[in-house]
Amino acid sequence: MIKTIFLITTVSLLSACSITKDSEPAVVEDRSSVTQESIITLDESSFESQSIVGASASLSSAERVAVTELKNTGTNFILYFSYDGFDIDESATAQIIKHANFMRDNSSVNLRLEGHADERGTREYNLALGENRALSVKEVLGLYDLSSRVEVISFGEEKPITQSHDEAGWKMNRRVEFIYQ
Amino acid sequence: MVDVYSKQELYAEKITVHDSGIRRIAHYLSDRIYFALLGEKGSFYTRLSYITVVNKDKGKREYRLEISHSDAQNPQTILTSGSPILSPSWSPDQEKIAYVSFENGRSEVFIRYPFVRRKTQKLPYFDGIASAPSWHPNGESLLLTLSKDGNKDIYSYHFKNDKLTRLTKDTAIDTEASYSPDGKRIVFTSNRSGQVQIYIKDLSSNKINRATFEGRYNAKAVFSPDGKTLAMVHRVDKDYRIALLDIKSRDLTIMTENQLDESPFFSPNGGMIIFATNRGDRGVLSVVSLLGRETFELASKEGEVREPNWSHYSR
Repeated sequence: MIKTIFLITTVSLLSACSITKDSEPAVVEDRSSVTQESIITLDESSFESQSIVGASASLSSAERVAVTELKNTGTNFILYFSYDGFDIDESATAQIIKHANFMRDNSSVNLRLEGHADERGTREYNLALGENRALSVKEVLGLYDLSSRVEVISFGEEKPITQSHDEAGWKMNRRVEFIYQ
Repeated sequence: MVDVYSKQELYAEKITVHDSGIRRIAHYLSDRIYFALLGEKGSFYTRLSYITVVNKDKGKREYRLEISHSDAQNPQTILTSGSPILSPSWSPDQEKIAYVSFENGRSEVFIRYPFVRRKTQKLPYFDGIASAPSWHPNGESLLLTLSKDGNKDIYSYHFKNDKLTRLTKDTAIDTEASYSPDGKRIVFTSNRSGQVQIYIKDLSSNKINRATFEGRYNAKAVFSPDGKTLAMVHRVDKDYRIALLDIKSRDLTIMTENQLDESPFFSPNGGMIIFATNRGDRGVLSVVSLLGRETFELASKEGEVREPNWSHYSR
């Protein structure tokens, strides 16, 4: 599973461009700003034992295939947010709609949204912020009548993807992860 | 103890102590001497609780809830977990510690008894976040942040009847609440203004007033033992530092000069503030004295140390 993350990140590096600034609106999986350093320090402990990112072990093999296909069509399973922000912009909404359609087509799967924050600011505030991020995503799914199938959990700043103490690292850690179960 | 000039006795006490209790008695005596000389209580015969995080093989982390003497000596691990532990808080009688654990996959509040054989107590299940526990000075209730309806608000939970009282109701984030020493006010963090700032609620009038106006980020405030000052995390440009706020005059004094200071907490006599900070890549505990602005760091054996909480005086 860890290998999968490395692969995705490395591929996006090939299309690397400029590092983006601190205060910007919520963005969709903008991995282009990831630096070499943050890849090296990718924190393996932040992912539980899943065979693929975005699918929990409780899925049947058919459901697992469906999730993998969704991923292969370019749907993002991680949305990123601005500093102290939890707003969903247009491109993030487009990604969430792809998940909504997937959930409608696959009525047996449920979705867990895990909200996370970067290390700056206090732990308890970040726990609340992480929940707000996940709730923002759930709100969009609610428009598709999917709320009852969506579980929201916040880990605040406790499960960073990377331990890099710089903007490139913080940017990766301010996120919501989609996990089908 | 005798004042050699006036030849007056300042302090005398006879104590019998077992070998293993020498350190503890030394702290007790230090408090007595401090009081005899300065007329104020010392903070030596008290305890700290804090969280230690140790990196293990294969990127795994171990979280420990630890307690120690006030000088961080004699550390004892009272809980070890593979899931994050947060926000330890001593009960006023120094017999219980409330804390947040993710051991069931989400944040929940537990009460642990470090000195007696008694089962850890889990607070009833609430939907969403349950976190940020902080005791009422009488020990009969806990302040909590709950997000039962999606809104993160402050509640007090009463042990006697399992009753919840809602203390804030706002669509913004309200969290990190703690009582004033007389239990008549609470201070909490809220982003209701669009910025993260500190608010004080008077529990008799139910009025909520904003306390901080300097800076764009002020969080996790705690009252000083005399109730006149708040210690908090204050953002300066890109750095997070510990600041003191005189509640009445609104004077704000920045006490530290690091990049990522967290979790300030007053010593029981109000003379010092303990907080967590980063040294290189390590998290350590640091203490700053209010009078001399002197800073010293407390020893930590291994790993990253966070979220110090200083107990009240022992009985």
